[in-house]
Amino acid sequence: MNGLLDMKPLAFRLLFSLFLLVTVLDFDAEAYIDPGSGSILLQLILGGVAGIGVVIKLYWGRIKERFSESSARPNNE
Amino acid sequence: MSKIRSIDSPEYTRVGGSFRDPSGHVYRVGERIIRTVTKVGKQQFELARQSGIFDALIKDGRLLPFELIEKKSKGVPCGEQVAYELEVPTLPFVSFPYEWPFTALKAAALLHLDIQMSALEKRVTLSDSSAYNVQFLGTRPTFIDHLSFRRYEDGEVWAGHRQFCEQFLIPLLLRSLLGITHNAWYRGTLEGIPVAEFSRMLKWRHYLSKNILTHIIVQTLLQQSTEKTSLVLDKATASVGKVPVEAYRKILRGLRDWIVDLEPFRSTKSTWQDYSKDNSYRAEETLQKASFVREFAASHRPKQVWDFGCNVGVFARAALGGGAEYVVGFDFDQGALDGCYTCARADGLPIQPIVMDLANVSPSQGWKGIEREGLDARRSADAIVALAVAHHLVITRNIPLGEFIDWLVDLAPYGVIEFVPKQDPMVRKLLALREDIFEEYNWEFFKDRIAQRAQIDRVCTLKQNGRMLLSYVRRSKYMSTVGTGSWCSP
Repeated sequence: MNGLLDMKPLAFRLLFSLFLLVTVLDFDAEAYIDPGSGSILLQLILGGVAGIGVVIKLYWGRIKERFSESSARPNNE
Repeated sequence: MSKIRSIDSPEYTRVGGSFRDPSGHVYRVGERIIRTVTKVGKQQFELARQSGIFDALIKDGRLLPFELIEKKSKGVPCGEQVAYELEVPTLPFVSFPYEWPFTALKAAALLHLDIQMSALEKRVTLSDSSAYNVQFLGTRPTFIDHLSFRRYEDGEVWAGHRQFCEQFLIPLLLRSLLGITHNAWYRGTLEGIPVAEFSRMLKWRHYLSKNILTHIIVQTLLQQSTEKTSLVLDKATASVGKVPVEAYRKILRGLRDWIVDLEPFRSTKSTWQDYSKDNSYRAEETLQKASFVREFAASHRPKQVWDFGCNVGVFARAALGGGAEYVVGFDFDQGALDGCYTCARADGLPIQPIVMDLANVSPSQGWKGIEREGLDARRSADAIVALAVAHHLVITRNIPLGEFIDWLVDLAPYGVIEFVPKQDPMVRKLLALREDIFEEYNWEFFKDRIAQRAQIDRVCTLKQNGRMLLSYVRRSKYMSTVGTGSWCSP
């Protein structure tokens, strides 16, 4: 399975992450300084299946939250 | 070179921009430049040294050479646990990315990627991607930070990716995609151009580019997703996902292939050649000026000339031809500077093109106001050449002629300045739509003002249009003795 996913073209990985970001997440909480995570997540996606796994895991709670309940989100600083 | 406030020791003066990295610092010790390696940085430095990457890069001029000082000198800064001291050569003229033309920034970006790729072969990587770690020797970019090298761990991400985007890639894209020069913005932020801000400037058609989608759009979205939500990417989570070395190389290679093809927006190879054509239009005048500059350089043999308004470098070449060793060429015309860089590089000439507006030169700025030295703090010229510059500053920018002359004469002991009289077509054009409030702007005032501070050496009237060239030798005291210089026939 590793090999199969690894062979997916770059476009698939990028579109997958775009879909994830645009459809599932919203950006209304307050910002804090976190300078490099965008670059690191991008490289993990480009790096292959293990990295994509990390990205999905990272967003998983968010995805579940989005689809399960509409209760107030925790306020993050 | 300039003086920086003493920080640790009266003998060792820490360079203003050298404070970030605890693994070592750069000091001025008299005329010498010493880089310390502290106990914190010792292990990684030794590892990089043993890998052979230093030798390989120094051999082909991509890394500044260094000499290990075996016996520690007295006066090593107190409070610093020094393991090694390296002596490195003094650079002719330190410059910053916000002073580089597009062509120079592109060469620096390619150098950075090449070093990353070469280092990776030896299982070494760079700890950051600061553009300030690149300096120029003429047109040749050279990496200067020996402490940026460290061991590459299998599967690690490229730590400097975002910094590379902000300090190299986006400033280049700004000019290449949108026709906007990077210099003013970069000078303001110092740390480059933020990915998120740049991504907001892009048009939908730019999204069709795989590279822009990857390195700009998706990076921005991913960044926002962690900044604006509860998601926290910590080291432990990130380290589960690996970036295999082949993927790492592919990212570097992809960026390199992309950058090598970037050119300024709507430019063709012939853009800078138009400047040369324009010069040849006034071939006789150019020849006369070039010969004046050549003779001036031959009589003073300056180590370093600052050529203000250098354009494509015709008179910088003349100065070199006369015996000057190194020319820093200043202009704010980016097209001309790109041409100057390209031609000087092709001919292997020691000309360093710098983007600078003389009415607003680079200030000393950054941390404590001394991190990046201003132009005045970097005075290193023995001679200045300012041809066809004064009228632009006086008539377009309202800089008082006397003040401009004083500033030039104070910069270096020798100089050549051109005076363009009011009847000249160029000055008439500048005055066409405005009131002539420039009473002082005349040859007598110009000559007398220079004579207040300098001995006038030689004056020459250009045959074609009556413009005047004047060379001088600065006096230490401002005594007025005019007109003892030689004159060439008009």
